[in-house]
Amino acid sequence: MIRFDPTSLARYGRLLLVARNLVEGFLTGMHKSPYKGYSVEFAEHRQYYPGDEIRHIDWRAFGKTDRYYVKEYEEETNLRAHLIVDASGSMAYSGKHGSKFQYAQYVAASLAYLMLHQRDAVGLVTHDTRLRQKIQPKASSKHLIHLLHTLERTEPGGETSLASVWHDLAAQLKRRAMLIILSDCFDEIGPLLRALYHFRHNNHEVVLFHVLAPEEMEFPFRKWTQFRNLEVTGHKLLVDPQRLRKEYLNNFETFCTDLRDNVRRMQVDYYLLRTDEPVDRALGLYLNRRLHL
Amino acid sequence: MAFGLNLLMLFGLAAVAIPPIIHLLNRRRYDVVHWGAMQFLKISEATRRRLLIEELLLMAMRMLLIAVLVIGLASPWILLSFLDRLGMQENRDVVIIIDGSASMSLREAGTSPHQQAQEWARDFIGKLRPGDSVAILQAQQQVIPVFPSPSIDSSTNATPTLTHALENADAALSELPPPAGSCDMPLAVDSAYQILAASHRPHQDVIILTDGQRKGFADESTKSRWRRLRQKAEPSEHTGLWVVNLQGERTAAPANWILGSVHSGRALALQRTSLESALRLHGEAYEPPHSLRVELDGAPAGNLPAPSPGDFRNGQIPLGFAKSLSPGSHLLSLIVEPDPPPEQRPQGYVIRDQVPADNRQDFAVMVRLLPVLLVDGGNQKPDKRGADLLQTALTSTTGPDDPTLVRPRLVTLNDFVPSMLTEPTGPEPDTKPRVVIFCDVPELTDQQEQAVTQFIDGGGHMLVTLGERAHRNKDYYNQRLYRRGEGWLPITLDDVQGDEFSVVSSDPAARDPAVHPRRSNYTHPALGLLRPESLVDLDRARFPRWWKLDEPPAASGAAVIARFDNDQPFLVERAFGKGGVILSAVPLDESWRTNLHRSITAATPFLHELFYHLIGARSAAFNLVPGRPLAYEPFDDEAPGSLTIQPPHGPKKDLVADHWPFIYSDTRVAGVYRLTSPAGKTVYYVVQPDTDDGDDLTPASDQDRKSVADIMPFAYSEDAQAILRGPGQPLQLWWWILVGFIALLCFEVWLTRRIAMNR
Repeated sequence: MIRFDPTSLARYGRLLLVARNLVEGFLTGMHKSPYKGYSVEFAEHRQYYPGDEIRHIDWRAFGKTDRYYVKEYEEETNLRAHLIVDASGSMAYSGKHGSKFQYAQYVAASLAYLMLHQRDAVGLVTHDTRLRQKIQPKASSKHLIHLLHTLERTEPGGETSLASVWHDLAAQLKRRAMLIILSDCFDEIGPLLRALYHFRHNNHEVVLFHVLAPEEMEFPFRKWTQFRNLEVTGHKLLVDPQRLRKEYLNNFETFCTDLRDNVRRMQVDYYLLRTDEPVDRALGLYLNRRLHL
Repeated sequence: MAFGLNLLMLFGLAAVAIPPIIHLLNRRRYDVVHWGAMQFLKISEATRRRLLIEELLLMAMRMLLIAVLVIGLASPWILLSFLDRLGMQENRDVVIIIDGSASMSLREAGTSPHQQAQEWARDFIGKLRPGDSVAILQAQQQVIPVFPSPSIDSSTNATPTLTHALENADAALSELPPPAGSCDMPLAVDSAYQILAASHRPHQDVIILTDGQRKGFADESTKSRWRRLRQKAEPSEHTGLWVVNLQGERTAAPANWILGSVHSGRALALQRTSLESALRLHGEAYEPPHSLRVELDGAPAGNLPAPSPGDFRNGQIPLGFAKSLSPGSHLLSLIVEPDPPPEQRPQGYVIRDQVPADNRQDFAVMVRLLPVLLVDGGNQKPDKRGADLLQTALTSTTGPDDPTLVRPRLVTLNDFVPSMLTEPTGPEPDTKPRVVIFCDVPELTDQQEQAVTQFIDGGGHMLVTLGERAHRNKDYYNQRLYRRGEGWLPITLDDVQGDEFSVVSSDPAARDPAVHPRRSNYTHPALGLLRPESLVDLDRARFPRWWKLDEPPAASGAAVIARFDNDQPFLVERAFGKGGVILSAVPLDESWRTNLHRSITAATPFLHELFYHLIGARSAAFNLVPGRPLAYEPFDDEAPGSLTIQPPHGPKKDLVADHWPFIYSDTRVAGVYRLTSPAGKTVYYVVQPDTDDGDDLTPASDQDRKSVADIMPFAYSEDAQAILRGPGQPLQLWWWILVGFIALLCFEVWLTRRIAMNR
């Protein structure tokens, strides 16, 4: 059972509550146990309280201190996961349904809650053109607060060069893990694929959640519009969207198709997340994959 | 090549700036979106170029659409000679106006302008293309439609129209009435405008074929009428107004003899009719004409003696002759031939008359029996004091060769019975009384009063004289015969004034207590003898006693037609039903001691004038001015039915009279109209042309032509081919522009749709 410090819960309540509501509501609906074994790696001692099982008393410590201590063990997870959240400027785009980054935060928080709930070790990486935060995976209960704290402090901004960042990250992640990437993947398709291949080459399991706003997929603009680049200050483009729509959708569709087909070819799980869809859809997609591992 | 359009409309071209302005405004009003997927907005260079081209093309198309619309509204036209050769000029409407004045008969050059006009019109119409339409008018004092020919069974003025049946124009031109009188060219052009107004073709021409005479075209009076026409009807800028001078250079003042209009000396139709006219000469000095002939009913009736040169005064020689005529309608014609026939002319003969159209004058005379019933107010037959005096005056003649046509019947009031109003007054059957004269009648019986009222109401006329007997019955007159304006008496009687025994004082300064007829500018046709220019002594007639008549109310229909010198009414006339009544304030006989019959030589003619006015036998009814309708009404009981009219030119017209009087309105052509009544009687009518045209044959100078062209946009040309080419025949471009506009609009819609489909 994961325990949370009430003070921490109060400080980081928003994202935690969102995650908990999402996960528990989702799990209740599934009626399926998330637990799947654990290991017995020692973690710490604590004072014995009536009701604790006698077999967990550390008699060796009793012999030394004449006090009853109970040995607590960090249950060994069968999974190490890194949540890689793209915090570049393009993720700040918000249409009618909130920003893509906010959506990615909810998904990442929910997945973190869920995985910690399953005793999996979860880490967090946020980045734009460079790595911003990197938290190693842990399965302890306090780790969730740390993750959520980090997520909430992160603001999207800056240019994106996903490929180079992911290459750097691949070089740093020595131990095999599951990489859950939340990104709009707005980068050159070639380098991006090569970076993902780098992950796969290092034997990481990669789950790519492609987060997109419906406006980016449908381009519904009618009036003359000045598009201001979220990643490059001062870069703007005044166009008649109706004249460009066909070309834009063609470019966008080509990109998405290339991305999807190529990542599946390298056995990367690709899931498209629209910000107008419920966040728990991402949880369902993840658990469905875990069931088949 | 020429090109033209409405320049003011070109200010509308500023509207072509609307599409760029809308484009720029749209660019200024835009939404701002902070966007992440910028990489997908990067379009290829080819696409960017295509979009730019499409945008420029669409904007250019919209600007061009507006420009084309504006230019189309400016009504552009183009004149390209090769278009005409290619047959691309549109069909035209042409109205040809042929000058019909007497001067068109000028034969100085052998062929008269009239004949030249016929040939020119034939040639021009022959050059027209299928689909062109044409109308031909002749401008005389009235406008005469020549082609298409008017209907032959119409008694009214046919409205001229255009026709495509050009093949019939040749025959119509052959039937062109000969020149006569003067011409009203502005009226003819106005008629041409009205004809063309019924057509909506842009190519229209009005072509005037004339001999170039100044009078009737460029004289001050006509120029004034041109100005009024220009104010009334502004011609379309595409209506060509052409003047073709068929005479070119000719003598400034060719020799001309003019026979003036014939008129009757007393404007009455008597058995012995006196006619007057005058010869006016221009050019050579007077020498006796070759002949001066008279025709009666179209047959030679002798020659008049040639006037002597001593009679030549003020440029003219008066002519006069008399003819004894049997009862009925007659046509008297006077023809002057100044020159002998060409074969009889000696070597070097100088022609005295170059204009033959004004050498003949016709005059229609109706000689008829004039039945009258005289009713004397006394109980016994009058003896040289009452109605018998009037009877004597009316039946007086100038001699044994001038037997009277008056058929009088004199009765006393006691003997007067209503049946007398329908019985013949003479031995002839058609002498039912048309006029009744009441000479100082005191009072009528109810039957008499009713019969008289019916007589007047049915078209009879009365002369009522007042005297002493009426004095005793003033209330009867006012209450029964006037009846507050509902009876036939023209006005109420006031009182008898004066003293019949009054005498003229020997003192020239003393005022004569009697009244006398006032000499004045009377317009009444029966009072010519009392006009200032009359030389007779009628104003010396003395009436020592007279009736003071009330002044007729304004709306009563009665009018004072003559007054005494004390300004009181002398004669009052009023229409009643179909007839009329003249009331005299004096008896007109010898009662009340007037000097009318004893001292005044004009007494009998004066009574004749009144009588003939009442009986309606005036020559003006048979001698008309052009355009005035002729009216036929038989004196006897002839029933309405089929009748014919032979106009001066063209076929005889078979018509039907439903009632009398029969009215025939188509009298625009000058000449003789012969009517054959249902009973087979022939009645002549003459539409007399004026004779002023030949008095001034001066051709219009270049200055004259320019001054007219300043008023009306006339172009002067003699070349039919040049007229056919234009400049009045521009090719209207609005049709082509409309087609272009629609094509551009379709292209714009297609382009816009194509761009929209690509979005």
